[in-house]
Amino acid sequence: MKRMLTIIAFCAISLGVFAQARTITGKVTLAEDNSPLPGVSVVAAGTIVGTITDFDGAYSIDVPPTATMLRFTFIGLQTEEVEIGNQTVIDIAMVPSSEELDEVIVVGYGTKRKGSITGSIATVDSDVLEQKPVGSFDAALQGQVAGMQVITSSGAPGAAATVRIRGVSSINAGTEPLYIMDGVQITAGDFSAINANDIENISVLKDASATSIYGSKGANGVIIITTKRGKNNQQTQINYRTQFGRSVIARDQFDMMNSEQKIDYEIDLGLRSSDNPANDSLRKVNANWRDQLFRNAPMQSHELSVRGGNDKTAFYISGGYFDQEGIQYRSDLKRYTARINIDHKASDRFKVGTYLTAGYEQINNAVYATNNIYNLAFRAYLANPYTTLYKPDGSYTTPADGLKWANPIQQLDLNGNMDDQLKIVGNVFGEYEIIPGLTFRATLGADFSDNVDYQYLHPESAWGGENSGEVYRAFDRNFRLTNTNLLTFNRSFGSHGLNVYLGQETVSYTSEFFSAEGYTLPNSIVQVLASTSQWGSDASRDGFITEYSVASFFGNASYDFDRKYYVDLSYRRDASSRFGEDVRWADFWSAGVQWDMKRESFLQGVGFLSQAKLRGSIGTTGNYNIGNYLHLQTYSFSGSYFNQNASFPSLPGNPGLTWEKVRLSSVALDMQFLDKFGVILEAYEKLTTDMLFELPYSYTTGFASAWTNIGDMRNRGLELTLNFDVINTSDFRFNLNANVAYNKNEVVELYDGKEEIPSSQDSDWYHAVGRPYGSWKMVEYVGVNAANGERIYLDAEGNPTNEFLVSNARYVDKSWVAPWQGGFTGTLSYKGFTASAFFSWIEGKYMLNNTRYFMESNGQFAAYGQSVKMLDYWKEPGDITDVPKPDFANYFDTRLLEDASFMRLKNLTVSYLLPTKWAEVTRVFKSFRIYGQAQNLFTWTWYQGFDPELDGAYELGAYPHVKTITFGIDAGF
Amino acid sequence: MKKISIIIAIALFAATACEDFLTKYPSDQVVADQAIVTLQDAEVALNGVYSGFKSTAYYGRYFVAHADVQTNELQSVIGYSNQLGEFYKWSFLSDNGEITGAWDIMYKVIIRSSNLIEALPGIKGDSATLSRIGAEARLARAMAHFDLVKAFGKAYTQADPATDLGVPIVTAFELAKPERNTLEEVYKFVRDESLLAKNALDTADVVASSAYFNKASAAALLARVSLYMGEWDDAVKYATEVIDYEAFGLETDSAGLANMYLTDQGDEIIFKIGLTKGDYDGRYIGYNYYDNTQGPPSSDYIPAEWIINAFEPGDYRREVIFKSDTTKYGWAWPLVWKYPGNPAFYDTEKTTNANMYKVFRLPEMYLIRAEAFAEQGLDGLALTDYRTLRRARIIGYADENLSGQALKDAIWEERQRELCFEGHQLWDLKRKGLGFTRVPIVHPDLGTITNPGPSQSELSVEPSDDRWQWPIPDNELRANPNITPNPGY
Repeated sequence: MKRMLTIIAFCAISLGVFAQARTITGKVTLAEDNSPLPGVSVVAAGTIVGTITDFDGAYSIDVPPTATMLRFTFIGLQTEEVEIGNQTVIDIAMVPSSEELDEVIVVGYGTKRKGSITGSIATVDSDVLEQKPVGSFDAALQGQVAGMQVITSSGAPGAAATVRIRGVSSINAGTEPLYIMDGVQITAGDFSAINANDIENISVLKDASATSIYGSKGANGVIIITTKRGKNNQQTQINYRTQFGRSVIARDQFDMMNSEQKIDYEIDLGLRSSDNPANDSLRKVNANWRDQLFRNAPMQSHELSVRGGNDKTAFYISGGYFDQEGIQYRSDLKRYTARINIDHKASDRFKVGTYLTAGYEQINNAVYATNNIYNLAFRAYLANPYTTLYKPDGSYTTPADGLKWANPIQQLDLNGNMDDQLKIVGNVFGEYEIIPGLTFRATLGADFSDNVDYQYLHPESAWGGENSGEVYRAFDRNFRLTNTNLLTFNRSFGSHGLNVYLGQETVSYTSEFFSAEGYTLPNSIVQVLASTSQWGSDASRDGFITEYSVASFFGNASYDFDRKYYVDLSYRRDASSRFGEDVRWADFWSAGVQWDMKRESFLQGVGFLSQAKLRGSIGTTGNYNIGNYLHLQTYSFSGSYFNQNASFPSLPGNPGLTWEKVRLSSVALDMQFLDKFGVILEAYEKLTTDMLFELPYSYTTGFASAWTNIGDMRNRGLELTLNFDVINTSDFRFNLNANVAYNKNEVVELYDGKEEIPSSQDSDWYHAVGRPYGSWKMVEYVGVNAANGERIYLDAEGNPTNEFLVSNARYVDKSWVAPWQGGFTGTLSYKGFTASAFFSWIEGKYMLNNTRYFMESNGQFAAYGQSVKMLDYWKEPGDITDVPKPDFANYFDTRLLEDASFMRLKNLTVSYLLPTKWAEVTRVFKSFRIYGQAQNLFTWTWYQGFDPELDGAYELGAYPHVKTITFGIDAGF
Repeated sequence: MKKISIIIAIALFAATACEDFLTKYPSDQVVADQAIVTLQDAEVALNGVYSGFKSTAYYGRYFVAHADVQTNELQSVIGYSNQLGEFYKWSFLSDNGEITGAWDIMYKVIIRSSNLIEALPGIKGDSATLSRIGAEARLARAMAHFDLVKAFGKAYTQADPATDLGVPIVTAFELAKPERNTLEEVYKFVRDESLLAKNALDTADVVASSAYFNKASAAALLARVSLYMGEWDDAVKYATEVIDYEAFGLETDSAGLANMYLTDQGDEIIFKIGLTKGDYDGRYIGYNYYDNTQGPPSSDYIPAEWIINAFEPGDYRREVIFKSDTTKYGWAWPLVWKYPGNPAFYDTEKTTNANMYKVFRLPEMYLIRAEAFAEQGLDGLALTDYRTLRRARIIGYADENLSGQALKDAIWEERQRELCFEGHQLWDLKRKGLGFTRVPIVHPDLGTITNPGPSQSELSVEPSDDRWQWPIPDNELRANPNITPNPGY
């Protein structure tokens, strides 16, 4: 060790001016606790002479006579420059960097000083995630990061969001980002059992320089979640937080016919005789189904956390309870979480620790609350207003009483659809410093979840009657083990900063599933499998194990010169069990550069410019988000004939199946003016090749399709992030920040020279060469012919026609994936008061309103509840209206294609932090904050359906989003 | 040197360990070349072939229901669910999911059979058993080809079989993009293969009510194929072969017939699709005709008046196959009751109307033979078969005397009375070159109860209409540039 230092010193000396050198010694400590700081770079400014402090923080440097200043630098600490003068001993205490420029950012496999990152990484801090009234933290990320689209498709408690970073990069393979929590890969979209309050920050890795170190898994971007840690030598902080609130439906757009109107409409259309003796009494019934299916839903949460540490051990412990009811009956989420994070220094060189969380949740699902026709909320609209949920004697009505379907309230009241989950995410790690700057870290992490699904159909319910009651129970266990071994070398040599790491990683995943169903229950008291007397369907008797594994080797080197020029190179080699034996390995790489222009002498004098950086990167990543065994040709036994085993071909096999590859290139300009106004402008291109694609086969092969690497797709985009500290005084602060992103997607190539293929059989949106993903191809609807009440469409040449022909469908230059999105926040604070408003928006999304297909059906569904709009139908020549004469014909034409762009006041928070001295007066609290917040308070949109916020092409009675208002306190002890 | 070899050994071990770590196989599947190795495997793979038939796209539901819903036998009621609606309205296009589903599963049956036939020579075991398995697979493959050509090709008797297109003949799994064979080629293939199968099967295995192929079902298929081809001699020959088996006999009273439809057991049944309590769900041909799981029957389709009125007094079929019931719409009508719901599947009176589809029943053999005799001018022989069936169906039947066209018409009417709602009408109309016009149903008190309009209850379809041939599915056209689409879509 000593010898190495000597050699380095020798080199430094020999490179310097070899005469009249002076030796300066000293000790570097951390100001807050006077602990020695090893590894600090000490450089004679203006030269290349430098050294590094040893374990005791001591250094010795021979400076050339030309040198006048010593510069001390260390990641996360403020750089110090000290005049040498005549001193021979210079001791210095360093303080943590307060400048944003020197923030430490979590990157792939470690942290880096913010200013040193060549890649595109955005961070989301804990304040965005804490105490938000959403069960799944990903939902709170909407609009926070330029280029990251987050859409929650349901207002059900705990609903996960769909997250896309820089556009859709694949047609058939998964497009979810890779999620890493404290170094452990966790399952995307499975977050409702995780307590968002435990999260310290989230890093979003967007470009090649940032993501390619994750190689085969980085194509869709990477989201790194870091949880809260204790701090050494800190007094123990105890925090209790609670909030209470209520949710209501965010918007209710539909104006449905009342009984009077509906009866008349039915008579006019010839569905009901005007002499029907029931008419008069039915006109008087006006059941409000919606009020009976939706409710105001309460929520509450409690959380206690304890954080602290001594000089060896730091810890963070928390326990939480979250309870949210859904606005649909029988939907709710209850969650219990615990976390323990411990960092321990066993010696100066050896650190160990564990980050561990366990969460248990119970979810009641409103039966069939998904985006489809079975959704009871949707059925509440389609129910005729003259039908009721209950008979006068209080019993449930049935189809015999005129209901079009089974009584939805009866199904909700009597039947059950619950699941619960136990989720454990944790790791243990050991880190050993071999020599200063060179550390080895081994991490073993697990993402584990047990899920139990329970469905019960009451013997007397309409759905359960057929089999005299049904019980279904399913269990699945998922276990992903990640082992990472990392050798890191981090040193500065004079003005040269070097960080190198080499790593090896394995991921193995096992999932087991089994289920059983029983029919025929003796009564409604016992509701478990043991009480059933018969097996249910064969298909429900299921069970299998599925596995995959990934092995990887990787390395990264980043170098900077004088903090002015930065280079970052990565290489990674991965193999996945999901691909053919001969093609399962692939190589990924990236190169990134950064130029800190402000440090150039020619900009030093430009006072208004506080920061100016130019970054660029290029590289490759991969995607393997497909099923586990798709390269094999197999026979399956998942069927039977007449109670005997049956086998048949299951997978066609493709031994050549390999990675989808994405090449990313990106440039960014990062500037700040007057220390107040920050701008980051980024441009990127993402080119996907060898797309994992389900290539249609001729059915005569016995298979409809096989997974193949075929086709290309491109995303190009611009991202702008603005931050403006309008007022920043000690008492009064006003900050505005905003982000805007535009992404242009284009399908570049399909298979066999095909120009277009429908996204699925019978779909109205296509994959078309030269067009963005999600492009609608439909028959254009113009309006109603005043002369005869017929619809007017456009034919393939664009001429009016009254005939609806699918062959007349044309591209309408609209896609269901929004190209524009963004968010903006204004925060105003005065002393202890803070008010902040956060808006998020999406622009250019066109969604097919499938709900209107039923509610505005021009007669086809006239037997069901209909929108009042339908009353305004064409009756006689000359009528100018948008509603044709009711001809019982109803098509998916552009009439139903709607602009689903929206802007939401996603969160509005007003809080008051009690002055410290008042809090202290209580002798109980150290701090006390009280707040009120509203989630989804206002929505601005042209969309006529339930809610524009849905990640999908068709919207059909989706579980409506909720408006939630909560009040809470945060108390520190 | 020693060191180097240790390093090499470690490296090799690491490399092997890594490859092992990366090699994963599914727990519920086996790789294809290990799938059919033993006799037991072959039996299991044969069940895989049969399980294709029970698919909802095939004999499990749609392929049968569509062949009736498309015709003049049924009418959709106001407020119906619109299920099967594209078939009822003849508005299906080449992207239709159920047509694609039929095309898909029929070729799956063909590939499953072909793989099995190919694997058999490599299997050690009882040669008679192996031969039987091969013959059953061959017959399944022939039947799937026949059903494909029936739906996607023109009727043999209404086309030029040498030039008009059938469907691709497939006998092995390969990543091919085949062209369509001619009608003649496909029908020849079906007949040759069925005959090969029939010859390999053993008379001793013939039993009634079987859910597996036997020598009688091979003859029944040959009889039907011959009828569809207008090969009257062969139709007579093979129908006779089936009729002569002592295992089969006609039901002669309403209790017997009702029991046959209810329990899916009876001497009339030559071959049925096996269903069990565990897999009947969703495989309900009668679902849209009755379904009382939600209360009163929610029938989407009700029998047309002409078919209800086609039964004379004394014909006990009328009381067996119709059930007069008040529907959820508030009116009563004789509803289709050929699928009352097998009590082995249902514990209560609530039923989604699942029964095992009877692919071949003995009455069809009498009707085939009667029709073939009549077409050959052998009116006496035809009349005998006609009377035999009617005597079994009508209490106090008095022999009729008919000849010439009147006899042919009577046989056709009897065929519709006997086989209505069993997936025959569409193909019979097609092979006979008949169109149809639906007549709306007017309820005496409530007025029209069927969906008005020329696209629904007043639909008229000419024999020349292109839509008698289902469209080749879009997905096939996209994946296979060599296949010729059917005109009209």
